[in-house]
Amino acid sequence: MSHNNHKGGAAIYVITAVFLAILTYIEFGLIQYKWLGDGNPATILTIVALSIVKFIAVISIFMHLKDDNKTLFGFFAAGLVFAFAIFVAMSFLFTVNSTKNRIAAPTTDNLSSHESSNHNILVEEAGFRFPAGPKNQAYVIERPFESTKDYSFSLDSSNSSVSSPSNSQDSVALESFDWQELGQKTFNSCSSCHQATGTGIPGAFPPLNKNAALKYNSDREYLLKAVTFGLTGEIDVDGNSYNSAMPAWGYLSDEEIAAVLNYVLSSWDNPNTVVNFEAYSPNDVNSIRALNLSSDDTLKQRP
Amino acid sequence: MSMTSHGYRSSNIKDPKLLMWIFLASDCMFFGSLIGTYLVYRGRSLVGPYPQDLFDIPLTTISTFVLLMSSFLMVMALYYLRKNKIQSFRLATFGVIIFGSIFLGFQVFEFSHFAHEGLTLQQNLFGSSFYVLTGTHGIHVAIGVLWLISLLITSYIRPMTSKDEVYLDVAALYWHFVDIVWIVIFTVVYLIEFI
Ligand code: HEC
Repeated sequence: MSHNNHKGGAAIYVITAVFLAILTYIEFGLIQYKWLGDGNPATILTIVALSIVKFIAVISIFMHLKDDNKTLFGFFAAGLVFAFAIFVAMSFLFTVNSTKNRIAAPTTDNLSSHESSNHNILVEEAGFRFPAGPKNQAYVIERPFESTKDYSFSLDSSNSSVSSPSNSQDSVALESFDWQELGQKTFNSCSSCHQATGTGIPGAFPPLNKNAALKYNSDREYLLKAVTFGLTGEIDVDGNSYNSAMPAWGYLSDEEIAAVLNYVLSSWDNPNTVVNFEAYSPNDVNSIRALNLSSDDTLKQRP
Repeated sequence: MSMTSHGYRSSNIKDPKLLMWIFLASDCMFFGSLIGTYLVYRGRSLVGPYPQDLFDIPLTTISTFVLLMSSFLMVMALYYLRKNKIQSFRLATFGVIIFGSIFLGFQVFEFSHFAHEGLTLQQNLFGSSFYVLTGTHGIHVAIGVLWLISLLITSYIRPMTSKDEVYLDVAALYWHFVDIVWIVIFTVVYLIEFI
């Protein structure tokens, strides 16, 4: 081969490899040991710069693009430019404009008011169902609580023990389990789908208003199961059918699950519908956990 | 062994190589959209587990390192084949196959660990976009490993020709590409999470 693209010896490859290894170690150190300090914006810039350098080193030296035919470089550069363009286009996916005409223009006061049910609107983009709203706020949903729980409990049967320590600590609190505030706070993570007033969204998310109370009346344990283990498959609520998935919320604490359901059952029209309401206790949740159901099981046991 | 004597075309670019670059350009767009999807959905999962709960930076750094070093062995394999040092070529290619397999092993470990922690494809947006992106990359690595195994076997059953050299060149381009995609994923998916 008389190509000029491998004129040098192997030394250049060795040097490049050592160089790449060092850069990777620097990236690691910046993140793991916070060399530039915690939360320093210089960290992100350095890491992006280092990755670009690595990227270029591999392309130009290992892939010989540095000395190879420029046509090849042209193709590759075009691919990169397109990839970048796709990326930029996608980042506009959830901005105000792309969803504007589906949003019933909310005013500032109904945005903050508890009564507003139209500030969350379902957007179906790219096949995903996603609650979205104006100004990005409604759908940039933050992690509502710091839960230190292990997520794995629904996968293995020894799990019921995961939650018992928190219960024994709270044995005093158990008698006077104060769920009102916790329930309302926890419901923030439900309202994106089921809406702030429990109306749901027809065809996508079933209502909790009335519906939850009716389910409670037929089977007190069902609501606990649906929230702890999730629910998938076709269900019928008041003549409307829903065929979607409710995520499993088992990683919430026993207190949070009990509190949120108590909140639901004592809100909106539910108090008028529910019969013999007896608030859930964290212990009720704990005994449901031990059943270790799947979201399909929940469907089968739905009243 | 001048390539022009086998000349496929006057432009001096060999057809397989040209085709590979065109494929890589399109693959760039493919990964561009998968990474874009991941970033667009980042931080929008309604339920856990979340990336910070799962990612293990030391472990992923090791697998990144392994993949980078496989790229180095790959370029050495091509270098030795061009120098007609068949034994060294075989050794280097074997190294790439082993390193590639180690990388895949890490990925299998990572996926099963994440799944055990409750992250499935359906659990949340993070799960879907993460598994699709890194899974697609993993499949690329697996294809590369199989391809190199076939080239290694070829070197045992018949003498390597200059045509094989072009094929190795093309396989190497593919392999390095898979490596640079991982360079981006390592930064954009893993490291960014902990800044
Ligand atoms: C990602 C959207 C989403 C979130 C967030 C969500 N749910 Fe659901 N929920 C659903 C869907 C979808 C269903 C119906 C599932 C089906 O079609 O099988 C459902 C069903 C239910 C049901 C059963 C209703 C019935 O008629 O059987 C209950 C109870 C429930 N959710 C409570 C909650 C609570 C409490 C929360 C907050 C901790 C919550 N959900 C958060 C989407 C969600």
